[in-house]
Amino acid sequence: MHGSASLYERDKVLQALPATFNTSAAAGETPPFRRQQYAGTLGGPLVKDKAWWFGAFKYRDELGGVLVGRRDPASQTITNSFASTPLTDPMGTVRGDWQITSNDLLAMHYSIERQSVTGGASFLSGAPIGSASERQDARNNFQTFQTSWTRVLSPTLLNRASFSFNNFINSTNPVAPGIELDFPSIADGASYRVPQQTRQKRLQWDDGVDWTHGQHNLRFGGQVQHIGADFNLGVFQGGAIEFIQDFADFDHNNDGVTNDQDLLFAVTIRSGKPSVPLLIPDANNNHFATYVQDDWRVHPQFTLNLGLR
Amino acid sequence: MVGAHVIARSLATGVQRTSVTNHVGLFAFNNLAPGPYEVRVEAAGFAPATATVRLEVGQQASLKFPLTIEQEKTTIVIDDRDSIPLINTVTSVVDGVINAQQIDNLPLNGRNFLELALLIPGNTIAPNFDPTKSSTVVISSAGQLGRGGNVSIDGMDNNDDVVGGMLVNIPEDGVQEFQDCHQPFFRRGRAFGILRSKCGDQVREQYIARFGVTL
Repeated sequence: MHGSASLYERDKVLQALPATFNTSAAAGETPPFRRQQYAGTLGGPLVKDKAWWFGAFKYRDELGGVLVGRRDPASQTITNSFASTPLTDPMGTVRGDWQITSNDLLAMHYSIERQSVTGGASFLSGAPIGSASERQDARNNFQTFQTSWTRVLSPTLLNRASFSFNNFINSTNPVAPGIELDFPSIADGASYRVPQQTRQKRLQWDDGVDWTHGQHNLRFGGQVQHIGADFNLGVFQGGAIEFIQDFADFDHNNDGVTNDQDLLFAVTIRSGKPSVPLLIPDANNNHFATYVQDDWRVHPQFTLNLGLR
Repeated sequence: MVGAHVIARSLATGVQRTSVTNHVGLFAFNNLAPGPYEVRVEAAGFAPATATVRLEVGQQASLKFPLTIEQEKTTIVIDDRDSIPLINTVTSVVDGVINAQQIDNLPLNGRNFLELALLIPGNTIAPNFDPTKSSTVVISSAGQLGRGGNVSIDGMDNNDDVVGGMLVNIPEDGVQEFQDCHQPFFRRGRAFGILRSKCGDQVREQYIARFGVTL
C-alpha cells in the first residue's frame, strides 16, 4: 500500500496589493483572495503481480473577488468595490488494472468532478464595469468511465479494445435573474448571456491491432463515437435595455423629482426579449474513423512512417 | 539474429511480455504501458543481454543488442537518453512529454494538469471563451484555436463537443505523464495532448496512478 497527502494553504491575510493594481479603482481596497487545496492518493496491489488499484482525490476551495460598481441614483455616483467569487472544485479518480492471464490485461478507471464557481459575466454594452448582480453562477458536473482490454494474440500480434462513457452537465445562471440594464459607465441588472445550459453524453468504442511482420510494424483499427448533446443558449432571455445616460439630468416626467423615472433610454435591436427560448434539443453527432499505418524499418537508421486515416 | 527470445518485464508491476526476433532480427513490443522495463535477450550459443529502459507516454524506444559468445555475461544498461534519442529516427510524430518526475516536483498555479502544456514550446493560454466554461483552462497549441484541441485520457476522448474545451479534470497526483502532440500519427488522428493515468508500481512506489493527456 502506498499513498500521499498534500495541503496547500494561502490564507486571506497573505493577500497583498498587487503592484500594478489601480488603487483608485476601489478606494484602496486590496483584491481579496484565498485558496485551500487538499489532495491525496492511495493505491497498491490487490493480488501480487496480478491486480492493482489506485485512487486520487483533490478538493479546491477558493474565494476571490471581482471588481464591481454600485450605482447610487440618490447621490448620482458610481462607487467601486469587490464582490466575492467563490469556487469549490472536488474531484476524484479511481483506477484498477487486472492482468487476467499472461496475455490479457483489463484496465478501467472512473473519474468524477463537481465544480461550482461564481464569477464575472459579459456585458452587452461593453461598459467598463458591471455591478455585483452581473455575476454568474456556474455548475459543471463531469463523470467519465473508461475500460480497455489488451489481448496478446501472439508475440507479433496484439489487439486493444476500449470503451468509454462520459457525462457532462453544465448550468450557468445569473446570481439574480433580471433584465440587463446597460448604462454608459456601468452594466447593471443580470447578464444578457445567461442562463445557459449544456448537456453531453459520449459513448466511444475503439479497437486497434498491432502486427509486426518482417520490417513492418503495422497498426490498423477504428473508432465509433456517439455524442448526445443539447443546449439552451439563453442569450437575451432576460431582456436588455440600453440607457444613454448614467443618471437623469432633468425632471422629464414633471413629477417634481429627478430620479430614474426620468432616464432616457434607447431601445435598439439588442434591447429585446425573445419570445421563444433558444433551445437546441438535438445536437447529436456520430463519428466514425478508421486508420492503417505502417512503421517500415527500411534500414536501422531509416524508418518510413506511412498511413491513412 | 533470428529466433532470439526477447522478454520485456515491467519493473513497476512485474508483468512481462515475450517475443522472438524475426527473420531480419527485429522484435517489437507494442502497446506497453509507460514505465520502467527490463528487456532481456536470450539466444542459443550467446550470453544473455539485458537492458533497462523507461518508456514515456506515446513514445517509442529503439534498442540494439550486441550479443556476445556464451560464457561471457553481458549487461547493457541503456538510459533514457539512449533509448529515446534527441534525434528521433523511428517516428515522425512531433510532440513533447512531461514525465512523472517533473509532474511530482513542478508547481502549478491552480493545479490543473492542462497547465503542464505550458512547459512545452508552442503552447499558450487561450482566452476563456464561453460563459459555461468560465473556470476552464484552455490551451492554444501550435497557434490553433484553444477550444479546438483534443484532450484524451489513456487514449479516449475527454472533449466538450458543444462549446469546446476539456471535460473532467483529474487530480495532478493521479497523472503519471503528459504528452503534448502537435503532429500525431494516424492512430491518434488529432493533435493536442495525451494523458496517461497512473497504474501500479510495486518496486518504486508500490503504486503510482497514471493518466496521459494529449493536447
